[in-house]
Amino acid sequence: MQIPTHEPGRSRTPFSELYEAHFDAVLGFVTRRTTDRHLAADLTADVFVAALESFEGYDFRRGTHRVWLYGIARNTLASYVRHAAREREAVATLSGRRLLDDQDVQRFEERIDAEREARGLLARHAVLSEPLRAVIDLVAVDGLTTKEAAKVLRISQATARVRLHRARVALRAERATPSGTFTTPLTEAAR
Amino acid sequence: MNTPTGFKQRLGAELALLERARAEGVAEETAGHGMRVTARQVFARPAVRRTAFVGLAAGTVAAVVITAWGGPGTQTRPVRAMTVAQVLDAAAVNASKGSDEEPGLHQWVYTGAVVCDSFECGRRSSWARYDGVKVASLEKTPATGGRTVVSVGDSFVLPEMVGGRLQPPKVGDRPQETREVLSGLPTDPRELLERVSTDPFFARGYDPSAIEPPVEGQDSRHNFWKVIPRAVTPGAQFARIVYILRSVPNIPPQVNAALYRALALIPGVDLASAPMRDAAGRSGITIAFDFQDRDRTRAYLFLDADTYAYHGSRRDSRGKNSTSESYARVATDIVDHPGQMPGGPAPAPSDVVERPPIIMTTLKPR
Repeated sequence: MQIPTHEPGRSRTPFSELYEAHFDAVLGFVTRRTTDRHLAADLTADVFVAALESFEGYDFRRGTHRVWLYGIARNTLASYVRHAAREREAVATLSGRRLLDDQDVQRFEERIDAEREARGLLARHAVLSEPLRAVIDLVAVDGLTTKEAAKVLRISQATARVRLHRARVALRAERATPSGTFTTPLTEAAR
Repeated sequence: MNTPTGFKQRLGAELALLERARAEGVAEETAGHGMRVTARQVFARPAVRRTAFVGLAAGTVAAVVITAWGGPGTQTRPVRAMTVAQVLDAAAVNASKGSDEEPGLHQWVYTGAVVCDSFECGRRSSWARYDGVKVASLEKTPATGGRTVVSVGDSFVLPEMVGGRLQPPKVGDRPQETREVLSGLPTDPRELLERVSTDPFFARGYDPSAIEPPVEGQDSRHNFWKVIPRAVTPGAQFARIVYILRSVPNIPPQVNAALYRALALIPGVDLASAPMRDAAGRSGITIAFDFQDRDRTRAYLFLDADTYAYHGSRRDSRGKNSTSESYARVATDIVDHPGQMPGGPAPAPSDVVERPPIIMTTLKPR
């Protein structure tokens, strides 16, 4: 009988288990950032396809599965915003929206509805510079600890703490002098 | 938590297939070129794409995910993470997203088809006015001077006589009426199957298991093949549903979805063991049904490999006289004029001829 050998840091968990355990977390991450159910389905599928593609390289020393998936989700959504819908249509092959039935559409709507408050927070964070925003989004909106957020963003915990603090100060200042207008953080209208 | 469970299961099944595809063949093949295999490359490969699409999952997906991902013992087994129920569920999901556009009463439903019998195949273009009063087709006969013309005439459906009475129109005879009846059908697959199996409006489609051949030496005037009225059989149910899919190009989306799910409830409906081509030569997903009659009739339903849309149907009998009949719908659309192709101009008035009306003095409803 062959004794399995493992490289240090490599995960032994099958991808299916990771999918089962973190589907809801990824779906939450996505539905906090878009109000379009079809786009949410597409992006959720994209996140898991990207995760599957880089699963071999997963190293638990750089964060738990959830932290790792949030990192991928962040990149997937950022890349979506950068490239816009048109380009995505051209390259995407696993179309999430194709997998939706009526009941799913309803559930997506409920989820999107339930995350209204989180989207409000994200919108408020839009006044911040990107480095500050990235940390406070993950902590205040996605519920990660500062340590986890640091791992997602691949920065040191100290840096994450400083940015979080600066973000909170800036938001308090912003609240004192409301500017009135800010751009919505994500492409809610993009399809 | 409001988890979209159907979506979760289907995505899980697709990921399992993707993972398997990456682990098997594709990775080895591309590794030789020193390239990284991405999901996009995997899905772009026709064979894998087809497998993955077929792997779309339904209610039984939890089991599929386990089989597909499995343990180390399953690694060498070929990918077969699909059942007919999953394929039909996927077809239903896609059908439910179809267009629900209702034509105007004087608009025309165009259908382009390839029809084959045991000997030859032919393309057929036909138009049915939505109100069911007129039909049109392309004709090229000596009477038209060898030209192809659009022949428009009264819609005349050969009335069926049962017990000396003319039968009212049935499914597919008149587009508007058919759509009206279909729109009123239950969208629960079991209820729909029950209704389609028992309502005489849907008594169409060829069920060879309900036909009794003529007895040799009998009075020749009555030497017709006799249709035996029978209890609801799987054969009759399959024939009726396939007939609806074939004869109605604009089934309301929710009913269309329920029809596919109802098919999955009929015992004996299965995926064909080998892929087949439809009458138009397109490959796709093939669903098969054995009538288990004396002629060993086997019927097939063809679905698009990507969209699961209806492609066509086929029937092979292997009795004393082998027969084969195949139908493929290649195009359908709503147009404004008889003879008009989708997106094309109206035909010149000189190319349209009126067929004289058919007068049936001997057949009057009592």
